[in-house]
Parts: sequence; structure tokens; C-alpha cells
Amino acid sequence: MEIFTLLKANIRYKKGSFISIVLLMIIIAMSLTTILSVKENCKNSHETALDEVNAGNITTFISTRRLTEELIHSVENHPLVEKMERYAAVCTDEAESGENSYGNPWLMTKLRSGYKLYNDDLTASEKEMPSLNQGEIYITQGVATRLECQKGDTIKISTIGGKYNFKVSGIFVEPMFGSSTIGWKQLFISDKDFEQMLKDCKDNETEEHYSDFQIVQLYKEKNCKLSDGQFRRKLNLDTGIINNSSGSLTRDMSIRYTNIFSDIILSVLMVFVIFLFIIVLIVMGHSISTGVEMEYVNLGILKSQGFTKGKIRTVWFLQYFLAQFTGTVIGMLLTAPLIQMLGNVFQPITGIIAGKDISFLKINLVMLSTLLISGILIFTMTIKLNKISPVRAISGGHSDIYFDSRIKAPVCKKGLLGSLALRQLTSSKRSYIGTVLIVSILVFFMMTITILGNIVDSKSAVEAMGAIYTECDITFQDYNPDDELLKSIEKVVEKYSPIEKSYYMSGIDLSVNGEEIHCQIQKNPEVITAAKGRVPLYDNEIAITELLGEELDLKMGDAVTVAYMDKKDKYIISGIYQSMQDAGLEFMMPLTGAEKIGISYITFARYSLSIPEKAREVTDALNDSFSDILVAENGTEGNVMENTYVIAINVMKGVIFSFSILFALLVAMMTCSKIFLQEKKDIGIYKAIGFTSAQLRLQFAFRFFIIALAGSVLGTILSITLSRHLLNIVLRKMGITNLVARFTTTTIVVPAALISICFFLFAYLVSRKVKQVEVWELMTE
Amino acid sequence: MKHSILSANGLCKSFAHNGGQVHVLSQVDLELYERDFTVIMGASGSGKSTLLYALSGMDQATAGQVMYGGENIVDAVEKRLASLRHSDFGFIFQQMHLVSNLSLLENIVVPGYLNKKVSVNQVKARAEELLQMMGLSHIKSHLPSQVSGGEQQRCAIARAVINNPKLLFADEPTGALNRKNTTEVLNLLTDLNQSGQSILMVTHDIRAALRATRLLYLEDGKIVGDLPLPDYSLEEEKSREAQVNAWLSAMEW
Repeated sequence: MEIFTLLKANIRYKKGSFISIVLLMIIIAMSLTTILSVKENCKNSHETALDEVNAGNITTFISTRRLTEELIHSVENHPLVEKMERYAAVCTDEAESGENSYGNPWLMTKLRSGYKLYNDDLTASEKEMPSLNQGEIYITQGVATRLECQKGDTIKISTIGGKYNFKVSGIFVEPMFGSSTIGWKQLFISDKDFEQMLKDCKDNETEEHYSDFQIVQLYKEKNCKLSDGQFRRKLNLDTGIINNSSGSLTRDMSIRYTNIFSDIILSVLMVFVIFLFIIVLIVMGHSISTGVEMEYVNLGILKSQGFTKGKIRTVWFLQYFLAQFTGTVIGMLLTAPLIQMLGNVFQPITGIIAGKDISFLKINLVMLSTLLISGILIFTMTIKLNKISPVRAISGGHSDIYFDSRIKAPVCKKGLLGSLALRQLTSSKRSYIGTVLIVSILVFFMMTITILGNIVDSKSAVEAMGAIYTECDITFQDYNPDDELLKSIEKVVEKYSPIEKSYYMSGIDLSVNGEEIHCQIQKNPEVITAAKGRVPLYDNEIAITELLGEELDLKMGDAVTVAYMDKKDKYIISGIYQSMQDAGLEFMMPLTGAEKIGISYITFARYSLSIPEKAREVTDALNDSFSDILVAENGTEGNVMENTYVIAINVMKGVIFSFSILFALLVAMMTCSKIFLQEKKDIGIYKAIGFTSAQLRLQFAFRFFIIALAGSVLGTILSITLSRHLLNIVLRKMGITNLVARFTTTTIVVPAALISICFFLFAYLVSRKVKQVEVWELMTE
Repeated sequence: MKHSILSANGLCKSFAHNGGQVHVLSQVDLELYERDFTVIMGASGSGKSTLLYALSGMDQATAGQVMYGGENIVDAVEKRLASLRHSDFGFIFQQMHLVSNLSLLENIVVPGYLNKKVSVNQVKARAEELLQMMGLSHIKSHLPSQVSGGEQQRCAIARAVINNPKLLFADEPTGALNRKNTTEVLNLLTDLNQSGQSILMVTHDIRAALRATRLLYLEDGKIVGDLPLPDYSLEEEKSREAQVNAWLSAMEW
């Protein structure tokens, strides 16, 4: 009972701290619950959608002429294949809508069952998918995004058989290729249109140019324990189906690539929340520490009245833990709208309607872990309570707590308030150093978060997915450039913009242990970031993607034989890297390595510009100067996909910044309130000798501004030294490797200024209590 | 003919307590005069300190007036009260209440710096003079925590008079001091009064009361006794003590 009474009194007395911790934990719990639930929902919804359309473990599209009866027979009778389904498709040359066009082949098929149509606002699926009339087409979300078209718009499809206009009758959920991160697309047209289109194509096909394809779905035997990738490899080795295909995608690859962008964004947000949680722990530790000092006498009195250290500690433990627990529960309960909102943000990219479920089991485990960590911290921090001696506490308290040192900053009439503020600062090292540290940590994390926000722009997000995103793309026209030419090209580029990164590369299919795999040959492989190990720097090294490793059962350190024509050599796998080329089935080697098997040329030069806006001028200049040997293109033009990513990235930045500011405000409020309580008596004294409340408020706020500035400087130093490494470590743990932390003026100035101003304003706000400090409180009677 | 410096008319102070009202001061009428050393005595809880704080504008009265220079300071805004505190009134607390991170000298000069009519040099000179007078010159750079209670209280007195206040309020200034320090502080206050400083002091210490030129007795928030006394002198202390004791006995102290 006595514990309950004390607990109630403590919470009432420190309701500011209690509420602040509750609010901070609400933010943490809301964010964690949302991130984990959205991640889970995206994956689950995708798997459900794949089941609904009865997607095979492998979907491949293959020219009808290559899908021979013999091949069909060997695949159908393969012991690992449960069944094989196939249906006809016509491959397009180009699709246009309005001013947008797309030249990669898409597959036109008859309307198939099992698919669902989106409602008009793309938030849910309709119960039925009506059959199509002639001239009508159902498209996927990825197509709608790519061509910037919607229901009712016209799409012009070009094939070798002719050009056809279709009116978009709806957008359907296509889980296998629907995501805008996957290039292939499947579109539905009416049976009659399809037959006509197929006939036209067949009538116009040549030996080299044909459009008559089959989409083949391959299903694993139920007892088959192989992963989808291993199944594909085994089947290909035994039947050659994949070698004969123009493209193939496993169910696992589809899930991975459909959710790759949302996974990156959610991982970044997760890192952010982890940082926020660290801040909560620091703030709470500081609060406990200063709380013990401030209540030294009261704690001594309690001990003298027979309260054991265990009981006092229990009260303190419960008081902080209760705040954490309350915040966690409220945060989890408030999550539902956020889950829906964030799920909707990714929907245009994934093309899947994400569920709105809260993943309770996972979240409960995570939240229990956070509470456990907090509990350990509170338990450790309250050890101080054991050391309080009742006699020492009551007879004058903890005398060295306040003003335990003094730097002789003079007190002057001119700038009296400033000099008094400075004196207050220099004379209470414990309280203020603690606050400076809190501010510096806050600034450090704010800066780290700003860097995080800045590096995840549309460009680096695309890079993080494994694609090379450059503003200036050069293709050499049957010309192998030497170093001198490359230098001349760089000189031309640098007239307009400094070069951030340059890639000199070529791409070719090579045999890896007998499998035809796409190889990225890099003249300067160090520009690529390895996810594990390191990029291949020597002529006997290669790097592979994780998917390729899975597919070919390879790992770092393994030796492989790479062959080209009649030459082959052994290479060691030095690292794993991320790539979206060939749906992730790729490997990379340095040009020096490629030279060993007879490949000594590069075909592309790609430049990432510091001033992306100069891309047009750069490409024009290059095309003028080197017109006979190269074609330069602006890599940013016509990239309508970027908008979709930008929206999602902006939502992420919005979440990060708004939560950061809210955090800064709460932390400022908590810290200022604590110090205010410590200095209440001095405020009374200053009032008694003639200072006005306004003067004292300004002095108080100014002091926090100085603290915030000092903390900002320290935080900036910390950030410049550590942020990059910390981000690299944490992001790598999350599987994101291609994000590069860059410091800009904004990265440094914005968080520092924001924190300093927040502290000043909130210290001023907190100091409104100065008005309530009455001089008669100094009265002794 | 004595000149009035501050007066209270129908001064009341009540506090809310357990859903009801506790009346600490009830309709106090009082006139304070220049150069007087007025001492308020009374039993614990009689409202002595409350009256002192209400008269000095440190606390707001619930009803009534406190007239100072023709102005009712009960209605004064915070800025005016702050100005009165650093220019016209000085205040000494029982627990000294020095700013713990300022040296003794700095504690004294800071209120001086608030006075815009006086230059920095004048403040410094006055502070040195007061330090000399209080016997603190040798420890002027010490922090309050490094000096004795008596020295702290002498510093508090110097701080209170740095701006030559018209009226010095003292709330049990010897309450936390030992006998030696009490005598030193009382001597200083007496000297200040005899050099023209008006003082209003609350005490329950008979030795402090002996220094008064006027003794007021407060009971249940009302002034029930008013005893004028001649200026204090050490030689007449014994007879003065007898007179005051007799008066206090009559007041049932």
C-alpha cells in the first residue's frame, strides 16, 4: 500500500516527465507496430494474391517456336514438376498513352480467371471482373504508373502485326509481374482482339522478328523441398526450359522484387525508430539521474522513516516502467490508420492491395523486448538510490549537486542577463553537461536521420535496389575507348558538372560453372558497393548476387569456372552485391579479370552528375564532340516511375522529420522542466532582488540556447565522425548496401538550427512557470 | 514630526485550505514611518511573515491597500513590483537565500546593476564600501557555500541595501544564526537604522526586538499592540529588555 501511495504521489509530482515518456513511447510503439505490420501485410497480401491467381513456382515466357513438343514432354514428365500450364501471349514492341511510351516488350493475353479488378480509387478489389469487349484492355498498376494512364484512357499497342488502340476498362491486381519494379507486364484483351492480334503477328513474322509467345507456369511437386530458385536451376539443367525462355521469374523472386522498394523504405524507417528508442533510453536515464539528485533530501527522509532501498527503488522502477508500458499500449492501439496510410503509399509501386492487419505476435515480441531493455536501464539507473544515506541527505542534502564548480565568467551590468545565464551554466557542470550531452546525442541522431532522409532520394533508392542510376549514359558505337578518350569525355562532362561517380562497363552473358549468366564487367569495380565481403578488385575475383548464389548454390570464397567462347578461367567469389539486372541473376567481374578470358572492351560509360540538372547540356555536348564514336543519353528523361518513388520517399521523410521534431520538442520540454525545478529557488531569489519574470524567462531560455548550441557543436562533431559508419553498419544489417551517406550544408545546419531554436522556444515556454514562482516561497515560518 | 513611508489599510490575506478559507491577516491597518526600526513580534502562525511579505509586495494581499508614495502597490503590475524591489525596498530572508553560484561581491552588485540610474563604477564602489562595513572584504570572492551563516547574512544585508532602499524588510534575519553572528547582524542593522535606514523586521527573538524603535504585536492576523521605543543603545539594554519583556508579557507572549 505504501508503495502504491508513493507511486501515486511521485507520478503526480512528476507528471511532466511521466507524460513525456508516455508520448515518446507512443511514437516508438506506433512506428514499430506500423512498420512491422506493413512489412508483414505487404508480404502476406502478395502471397495471398499469388495463390488466388494460382501462380506457378516459375513463370516463364517463351517463344512458341522454341517450346517444342519434346521440351514440353520433358518438362511435364520431370519428377519435380507437378504440373505445367501454358497459355498464348503476343509480345508487344511498344506501348503508348498520351505523351508516354514504353519500349520493353509486354505480353498481351486473353482475360484469365482468378484475377481481381481494382475499384475506381484503387483502394480495394471488385467482386467480379467483367469480360472484355473488343477494343478494351485491362492493365496492371505498373503499366498505369509507367504510362501515366487511368481507366478510360487510350493505350496504343504496337506489334509486328500492326498498331491497335485500346480503351482502358480497368486496372487489375497482377501479383506476379504487376509491380513497377518488374519490367515484364501482362495485359488482358478480349478473345477476339487477341485472336486478331495473334493472326496479324503470325502473318508478319520473320525468322528474326516474331511475337508469338507462350506464358508457361511451372508448379513444383508438393514434396519437393527445393527453393524456387533451386527448382528453376534443376529443371533448367535437366530440360533447358529456362535457356529457351526469353524471361523467367520465380514466385520467390516476384515477392522479393515486388516488395523491394517498400522493404527498403520500411528498413530505413526501422533504423530511424531504433535511433528514437535509443534517445528515449538516454532521456530516461538522464531523467532518473537528475531526479535522484533533486530528491536527495526527500529520499533521505523516506529512508529515515523506514523505507528500505528496495521499496524506494521499486517505486522509481514502477513509475518509469509504467510510463513506458502505458505509452507502448496506447501507441499500439493508435496504429490502425497509420498502417492503412503507409500500405496505400506502396500500393502504386507493388500493385498489390496491402492488408490492414496488425501483426500482433511479432509486435508483442518486439515491444516486450523494448520494455525489457527499458526495464534493465531503469533497474541499473536506480542503483544510485541504494547509496543514499538518510543522515547525510537530511542534514543538508547532496551539497555538491548544485554549483559544484565555477569558471570565472564575469557578471557585468552590460548584458547582465547573458552573463548571469553564462554563470549559471558554468557553475553547474553536472546538470548542464548532462543536458549538453542529451542535446548532442539528439543533434547527432537528427543529423544521422537527415542524412538518412537525404540519401534515400529517388536516385539512391533505385541504386539501393541494385540498379545503376546515372544522369548521363553513353553507349560506344563499336568502339573500345582507351583511357585517353575516357579522360577527354570526363573533361567535357566536367565543364558542366562535377562527376560524382563514373561507371565504365559492359554486359555480356558468360558461362558460370556451365550456366549462362549475365555478367557486369566493370573497369572500376570499386564504384559498386558490396553487401557482403568486397567487390572483386583483382583479376581472379568475381562478385555474385545473393539470388545467383542461391540459384547456383555458391557462397563467398567458392571457386567457379567462368567461360567465354573457347576460353575459361577459375575465379574466387570475393563478395555479394545487389543487382536488378536479369531479375537479380547476375555476377560482376573487373575488366582485368574479363581480359583473362578474352573480353577486353567496355561498351558503356555512365556518369552520375553532382548537378543532375545539367544532364541535357552534358549529353548534347558529348554527342556534338564525339558523334562518330558514341551516343549519349540523358538517363533522367522520361523516367515517370520516379514520381511514384518520390511520393513514397517523401512520405518517409515526412514521417522521419515530423517525428524528429516532436521528439526534439518533448526532450527539450523534459530537460527544461527538470532544470527549472532545480533552479526554482534561485528564480525566487532573483525575483526578490528585482528581476522581472520576463527577464528571468529570457535568461532561462537563453541559457538553453547556449546549451543547445554547445550540444549542437558536439553533436555535429559526433555526426561527422560517426554517422556514416553507424548508418552503414545499421543499413547493412537491414540488407541495404548501396546507400552512400553524404554531408551537405542542409544536413549540418538544419538539425543544429532546429534543435537550438526548439530548445530556446521550449525553454521559454517551460519558463512561463517563472511567473508562478512567488517570492514568499522563500519565506521560512 | 515623523513622515509616513508606507501604510496598510484593511489588509487581508486568506489561503484556501481543505475547501475552506484560512484568514491569516484580518483587516490590518498600519502606518510605517521613515527612520523607524519597526519590529513585528507574535506567536508562530500569527501572520508576522505574511504581513511582511504583503507589505513589501512580495506576496499579494487578498484585500485592502498598501500605499507607498501615493501608490497602492497591491494593484501594481509585476514590472512595477520588480522596480520597487530593486530600487525602493530591500529584503533580508531568514535563510539568506544568496545565489549560490555568485560570489559574495557578485551577490551584492547584481541588484545594483539592475538600477539604471547608477553606473557600474558607482555600484562597485558602493559594494566595496558595504563589504568593508560588513567585514566581508577579505572573503568577497568566496561563494556563499564557503562562508559562515553569519557572513552569508551580512552579505544578504549588503545586497539588500546596495540600492539605498527607502525601506528594508527583514524576515527573521537572525533565525538561522548562532549567538555571535546574531549580535553582529543586529549591530549592523542597528547601525544602518541609526544612519537613517527605515527597517521593518519580523522576529521572535527578544534580543532582536530590543533593537526596535517601535514594536508591533500581531495576534491572529491583527495588530494588537504597538510600543514606541527610543533609539537603541547598549548602555540602556537592560532597562529596555525589562520594558519589552513586560510589554510582551502583557501581550501574553
